[in-house]
Amino acid sequence: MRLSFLLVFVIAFLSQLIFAESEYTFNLDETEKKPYSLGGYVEARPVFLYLDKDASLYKLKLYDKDEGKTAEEYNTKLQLDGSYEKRITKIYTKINVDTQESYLGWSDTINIFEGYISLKPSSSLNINIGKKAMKWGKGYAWTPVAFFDRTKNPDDPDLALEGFISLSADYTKSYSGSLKTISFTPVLLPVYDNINDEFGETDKLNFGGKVYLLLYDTDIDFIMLAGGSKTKRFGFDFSRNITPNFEIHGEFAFVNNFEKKFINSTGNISVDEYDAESYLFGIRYLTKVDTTFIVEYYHNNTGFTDEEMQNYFSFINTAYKTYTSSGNDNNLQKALDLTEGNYGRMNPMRDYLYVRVSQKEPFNILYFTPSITGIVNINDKSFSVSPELLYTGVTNLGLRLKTTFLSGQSNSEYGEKYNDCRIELMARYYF
Amino acid sequence: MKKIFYWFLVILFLVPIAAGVSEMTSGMIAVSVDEKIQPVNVSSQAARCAYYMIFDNKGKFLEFVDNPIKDVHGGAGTSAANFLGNKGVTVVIAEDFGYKMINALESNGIKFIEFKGIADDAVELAIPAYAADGNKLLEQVDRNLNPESYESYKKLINIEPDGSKKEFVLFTVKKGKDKVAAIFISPASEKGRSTLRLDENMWLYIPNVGKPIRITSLQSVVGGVFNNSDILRLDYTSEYDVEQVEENGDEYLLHLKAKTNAVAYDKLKMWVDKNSMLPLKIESLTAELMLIKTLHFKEVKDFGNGIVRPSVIETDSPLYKNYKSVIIFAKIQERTWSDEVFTLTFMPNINSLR
Repeated sequence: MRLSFLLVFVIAFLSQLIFAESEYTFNLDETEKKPYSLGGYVEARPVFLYLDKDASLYKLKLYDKDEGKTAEEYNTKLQLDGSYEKRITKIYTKINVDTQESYLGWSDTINIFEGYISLKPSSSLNINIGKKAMKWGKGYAWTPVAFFDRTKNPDDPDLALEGFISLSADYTKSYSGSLKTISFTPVLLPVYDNINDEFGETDKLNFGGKVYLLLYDTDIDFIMLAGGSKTKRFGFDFSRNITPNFEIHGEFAFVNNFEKKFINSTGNISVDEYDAESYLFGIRYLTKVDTTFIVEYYHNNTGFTDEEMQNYFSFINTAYKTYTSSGNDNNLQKALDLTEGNYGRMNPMRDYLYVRVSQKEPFNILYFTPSITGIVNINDKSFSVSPELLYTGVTNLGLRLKTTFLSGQSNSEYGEKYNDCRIELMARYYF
Repeated sequence: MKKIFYWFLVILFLVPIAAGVSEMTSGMIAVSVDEKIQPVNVSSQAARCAYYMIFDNKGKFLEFVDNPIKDVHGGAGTSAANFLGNKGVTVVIAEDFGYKMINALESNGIKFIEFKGIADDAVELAIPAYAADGNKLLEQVDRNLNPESYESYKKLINIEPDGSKKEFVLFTVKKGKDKVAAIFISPASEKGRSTLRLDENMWLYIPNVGKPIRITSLQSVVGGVFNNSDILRLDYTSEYDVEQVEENGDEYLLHLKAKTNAVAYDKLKMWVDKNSMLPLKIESLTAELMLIKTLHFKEVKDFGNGIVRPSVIETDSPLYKNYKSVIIFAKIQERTWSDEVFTLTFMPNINSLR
């Protein structure tokens, strides 16, 4: 049961033993290339949660369970990357295995995050067929123009994402002058039963792509998606260094005929259809003493308004009262159905601010990076704050201690989360 | 007869012009002084000194020149720089220079040397500046270190005070003056990370993150004493100008200044072996001349095809006391690459070049 907690210490101890005595040499064998490669990481991540029993999402998730004030999760992850390369062909796969022992019981999932064949007849042309994550957009915490990707988690934006099955190509040309690079990336993404059916409406062949320019030292992408599984969408993004240590970036996304499904406090579900324009503006700034600031403002016009969110929470509270008085959980189930992929998505409201400050190697402690991240819901003034300590001093081992405090008034996004605080320790060993 | 007279006049006019041009191009040395005696101390005022002592480029004293700028109100530095430029001076020596005068001298293409002591000694110091063209020397150093377009392997080792080490192996490709890319081969935690530099633009691609992000030359993707510009180093000539050359026995000392503020270190002092034209030591400095790190070039090795260069660079830094970093080079060889290799789209595929 406490497997992941034990694993943290076993991984840390073994890596110290293995790598304490390496030699100061450069053996040419280290430069030999093999046609295949296999690697990845194993991770243990115990989590301790301080629950908020008055919160709407606690009532929704745990209404039929008797949890105390605290709860624990024991998570493990195995991520395997494998590839085989011969002449112009490369086969690549990334497999992800997650296990979790928590107050909700045991769960495990095995997913092929990526698995594709890549053909590269020249350095200008690359053709990919199979399951691939595109990871488009310039935003760090949010990427409204990533039309072909799953939504990333702003609490851990660097995590690998599962891709979709697609056929894509990259054609690139370089020039001298103000336009240095231009790339075309057309994409075909089929959505049928059992093929990409999480992407949107089935029995559609979606198409779109990206045009990338490096123009006047600025990265610029124009992106589009059409085909019917989702409504048509267009966007562009940019990134540029104003000075060597000051970068700005931004995204703009236009979603045609976006359909928003929402609930009122009595449980009536309505659908609103409108053109949604979302945008993001961000900076990354490095000081002389190696402090990095990442700040992003995100306006998400596909998100819910204050009133819509309050109605959702009111409905849950009413449904919970009905459950406690009569044992009838029909309305709670209705709310649960509406939460999945809708109210329950990452940052479901309209205006957010993301601030991350990290200090590289303070007090000359090599490979040690403390940081603090804040995500503020500007609409309801609720927020999360996450101080974090990261140490990567042992070869192939990453250790992270992260605490997240959530705060907000009642009927606010972070105020109604099922926990007030979470503490997690992560040990990740790469092989 | 008229024709002969005509050609005589032309020659008569051309000779002094040619002589003047020759004098201008050969350059003269001006030393600021306050008295018309010899020996005389160098003046503490570069623009408001009483006289300039003029020497030829071999150090021969020519004349004292009254300084017409010494009593002007405002803009003395700029006026003095223009005055000296018009006289064909290419090196000015004084005890101290104001920043306005430095800017004006640089825009007139005039080198400056700060010196305290006897004027004749100062001129001795200035003469080597004519002995060699600094930028040509630096170009030679660049070409001796590696071909303009090449591939190589590097091992980076961070050594901590207790002796523990962290090692990284990279494969690097470079084309021309402004394109360089690298991919980490080991350790496993960094494997597949690639970095790209196009002139002053730098990106990092992390396989898990899946998209290139912009980084700066001042950051470090490996931690420790190395920063990104050490990993993605362009030719020194593409980032620096040589401000001054000193000759000390078998060595040149090149004083380098960054061409733009995007370069990681504002100034470098590079000691170069005269025979091999390879660097022996480089000190990296801030604009305020604070030492950031020192690179020691060691173990000259024949990599084949005429590439003979130091195979080890040891780095120490007063900012990281008792820490040391080492770069070991292997398999440096000339290669030609297409421009498309140095694009964001190609970053996930750099390993295919090996």
